[in-house]
Amino acid sequence: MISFFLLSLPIFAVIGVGWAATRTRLVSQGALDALNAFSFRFALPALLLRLIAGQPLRQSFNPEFYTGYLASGAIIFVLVLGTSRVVAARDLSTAGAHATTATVSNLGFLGPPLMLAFFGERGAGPLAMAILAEVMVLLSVGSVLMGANGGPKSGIGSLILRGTMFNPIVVAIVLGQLLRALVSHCPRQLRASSAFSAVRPTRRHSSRSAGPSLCNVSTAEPPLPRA
Amino acid sequence: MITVAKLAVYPLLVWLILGRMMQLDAFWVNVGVLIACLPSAGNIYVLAQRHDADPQQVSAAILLSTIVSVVSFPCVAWLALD
Repeated sequence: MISFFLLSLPIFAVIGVGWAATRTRLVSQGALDALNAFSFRFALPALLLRLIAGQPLRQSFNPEFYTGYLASGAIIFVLVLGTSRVVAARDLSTAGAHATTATVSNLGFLGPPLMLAFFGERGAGPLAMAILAEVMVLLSVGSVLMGANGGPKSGIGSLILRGTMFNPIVVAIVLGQLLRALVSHCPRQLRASSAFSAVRPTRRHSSRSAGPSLCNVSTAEPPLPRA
Repeated sequence: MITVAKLAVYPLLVWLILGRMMQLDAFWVNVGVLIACLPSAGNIYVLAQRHDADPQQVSAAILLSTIVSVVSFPCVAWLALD
């Protein structure tokens, strides 16, 4: 049990450190914005592209999982939307915000480090499917509902388009899967790239030696902790 | 209510649908459950603020779910994986 805490605590601690740094003004708002933008537009997409492209397609593309996960999210979305709208008598915009908050997870910043820590690089496949379900569908629907009481409005079509074509994380996942589907072996440049080596903290939990090639990580056993 | 739905009901439903109804491989079920019990995304607050859709409660729910998941996430991981 304690090992599960020890595995996830450092990742949550980073959030706490970031929060404390902001509160104590150790980091300026400008630096924070730049760091957020860099993480969201470059670091996370690069990490996901590398992970997805390095796995067999069947481990990163699972329509059954996608359908089941999306159905679960949609049910919770509708339940919270209905409860907020009918029971709490909130307007559609507010109910939409509540439903979105109850279903869209912090997949960008917490998903990769936690899934890599608990499941190794195999965890990237389900994570990619979950991102496609929550960000592309639930967040887009939620955005439309939140805009229901006036303010800047966008159609569901343009929101889904923005949530896919202009979302760097979604683009990285789709490109990674395309790359994997098009080439039987992942590009040597991707494998050899040391630029992404910093995102391999899970290796220390694995019994395998550090620095394996990307193309055979799918055979690696997930580094599950033992309670 | 939002935090309970996010951190408890959602993962439970994912487990029921993926594991019990669809009977997927344990690996996919476990990852699905753990992804579902992650805290709410921070960017929802930006959207809620832009549309004036109860940003205070959204912000509180994001903060609360993040704090609770420091404990709930490893607990669910322990239940699912051990």
